[in-house]
Amino acid sequence: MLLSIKHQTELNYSDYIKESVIELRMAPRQETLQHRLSFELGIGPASKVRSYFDWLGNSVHVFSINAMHKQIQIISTSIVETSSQTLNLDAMPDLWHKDAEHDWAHYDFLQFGGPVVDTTILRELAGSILRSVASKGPNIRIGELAKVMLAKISEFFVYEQGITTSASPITEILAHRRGVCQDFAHLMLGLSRVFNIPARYVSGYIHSDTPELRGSAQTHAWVEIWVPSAGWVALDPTNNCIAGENFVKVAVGRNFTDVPPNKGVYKGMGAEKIEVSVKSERLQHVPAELAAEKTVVLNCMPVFGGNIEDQIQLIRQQQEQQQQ
Amino acid sequence: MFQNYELNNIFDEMFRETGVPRQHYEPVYGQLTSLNDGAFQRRRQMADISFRNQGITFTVYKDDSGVERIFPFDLVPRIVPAAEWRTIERGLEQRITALNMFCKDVYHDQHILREKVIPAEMIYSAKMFRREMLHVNVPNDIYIHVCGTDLIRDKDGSYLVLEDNGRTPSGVSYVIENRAVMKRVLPSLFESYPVRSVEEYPFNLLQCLKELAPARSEDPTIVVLTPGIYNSAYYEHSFLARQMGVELVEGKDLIYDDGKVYMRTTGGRRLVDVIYRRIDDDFLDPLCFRPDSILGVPGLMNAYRCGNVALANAAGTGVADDKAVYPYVPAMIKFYLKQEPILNNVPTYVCANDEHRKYVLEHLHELVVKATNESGGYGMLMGHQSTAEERAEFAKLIKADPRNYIAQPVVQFSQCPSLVDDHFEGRRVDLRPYILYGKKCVVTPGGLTRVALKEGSLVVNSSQGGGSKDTWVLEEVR
Repeated sequence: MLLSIKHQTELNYSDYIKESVIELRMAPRQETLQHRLSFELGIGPASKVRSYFDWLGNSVHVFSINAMHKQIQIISTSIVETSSQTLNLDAMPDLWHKDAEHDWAHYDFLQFGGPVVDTTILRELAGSILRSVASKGPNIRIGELAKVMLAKISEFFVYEQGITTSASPITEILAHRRGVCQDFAHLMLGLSRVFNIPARYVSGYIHSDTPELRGSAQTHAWVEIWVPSAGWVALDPTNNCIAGENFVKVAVGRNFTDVPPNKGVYKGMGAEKIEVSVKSERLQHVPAELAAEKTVVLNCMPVFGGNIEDQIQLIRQQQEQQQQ
Repeated sequence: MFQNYELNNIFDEMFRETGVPRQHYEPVYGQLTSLNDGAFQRRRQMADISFRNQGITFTVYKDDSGVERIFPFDLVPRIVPAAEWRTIERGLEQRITALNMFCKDVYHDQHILREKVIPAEMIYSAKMFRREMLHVNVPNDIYIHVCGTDLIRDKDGSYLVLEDNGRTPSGVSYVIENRAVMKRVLPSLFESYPVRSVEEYPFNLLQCLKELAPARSEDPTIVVLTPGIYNSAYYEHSFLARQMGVELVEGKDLIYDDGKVYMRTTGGRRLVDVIYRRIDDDFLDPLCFRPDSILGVPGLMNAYRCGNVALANAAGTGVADDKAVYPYVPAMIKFYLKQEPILNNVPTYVCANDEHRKYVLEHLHELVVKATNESGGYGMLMGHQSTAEERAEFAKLIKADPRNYIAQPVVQFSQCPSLVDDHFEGRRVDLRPYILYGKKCVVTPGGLTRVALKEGSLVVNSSQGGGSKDTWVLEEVR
């Protein structure tokens, strides 16, 4: 599937801030089943961008705006060609063992941590899943277990925005039985941790022509679990399905905190407001004159105080104001 | 003053047997016994005043009675003969070489984990293993540029390594200041000894830092990054910056821009080449490590990754001085250098290991238990001096988080005479030499001898009421 994804982020501040340093994880990964043809990053106010691969192999773009500013615009446009793995959870022969020994390369994907908290309610949920699988016979296959995890999550939990935040641990979705894709993914990671199955968080995009899938028009999140015979198998607990060619994978991590699409630090008292939108579009053919990677400057509210004179001017103006 | 001096059945630095000083201590012994009590007290007061006037202090946290204190100074020098020093020097060089190879390996190809010399889990569960440093190349492949390794002496006088401090070791300023005070207060003691000088340390450190600078400037800009005036070692940060002739900065004085780090000065921004940082990894860069850090520089790690600024020590060296990794250092030496360790470790039980843990829990009353990621003598149990409640408390802690604890037998390490009121008594001492590792390895001939000033105490940390002595390494006699 040939897809064009436009991911737009606007950061607005209630007051002038300065020295913003921002890291973006927005460029789709290059993988066997996913080829990134083009990545264009637009940033305003003008800033120089540097990029690197983090320890998980995600590509990260970094930029800073030191002058005073009230707004930052980020538009990343990716053109990606995806193909899907033919996967059948029922056909995977791998047997599940509670005490299976894993390669230490998977150590990080077996540990609780961050928002993926080990709790009694989680253990109870895992217990009920295990009982329902075990009732079918003594030998439990990983594929089967995964399928029941997906089914139980969509049975018990409701997709609803505004209940949790991007910093919510899984205790919140477990308590309210409501959440968004990030919570669903963390919950599935939690269950996999209980079951001693290596599992990692995936952030990315989902394209849906129709009917609407949950998570389109915004950034999406799902998980990958390790099945020895198949490798990393991508599963979407929010939509109760295997992630197919309409999924665009941007970054993988232990949980959300490893892979937020944008994170930054700034100086100033202004409060931050963030607006995000994602548009995906199916393309018929590869556009002409495509650059593998480029950065452009976006029009944005102008920066202020780029030089010392401006800042002196600001102070002078503040002092000049009569206070009667 | 030595009339009732007890040897306490352990190794004594000064005395071979009661009343008989070792050969290298004879002149000092002679002079000390010839001074009368009043003269010695006056010299002790002079030393105290010197330290106070120079503002040579350290800070004790978690204590109501005050913050800034003088590091108690003991006037009897600790003397290390040339032959002993040769062994120490070779042993430390071997050790830091292996530790640096280990850091490089563990953040790149991980051969040592593949070969199962160290359990991978031990590394991946280490709090200071910085995944952010995986596959990052550092200048000259050196991670630990400055190391302070703590040595103690066994009953037979052989030196053992107690721990390596490869993150932000402190105390070297006391080494230099102790010598200066000693020369002022008891100059005559130096007449009979060819004492090697320690004053070159700041110069050697500066050389070592210069080697790390990106190849763009002949006169690199080096800064000392301090957490600020409330840190226990602030005195040392300012001391080293002054001695090296470089700027002392806090995080807020630095700014990231387009892959580089600049220092804000009254004359505008200045590009920074090397940062000798005295803040923890966790606080270096809020974008990369702890997001709530206000001591660091947002973006610093990106500039570091780009090779536009160097850090000393590198980020991530904490994995090498984790107390649960320490027991594997002799194995590292064999693995990387194909050599036998010159300096031995203290036998150590790793509580993460089931058998070791069982032993530890059964023998708490005769072991020293330490938390793997604490320093300064915090989070410790001295089994033989503990109460049943304290032992029960530690047993609980160990069972709850075994990875976080190690245990060692109580080593009855050496003592050296210390002035107590009007006479001398034996007090336990350790030795922390300072190693600089650049294109060559320089072990400063001397070090910080810390003294447990309380009678019978085995804890020498300054934060736990320890003091220090001037340490004399003697010139080779030709």
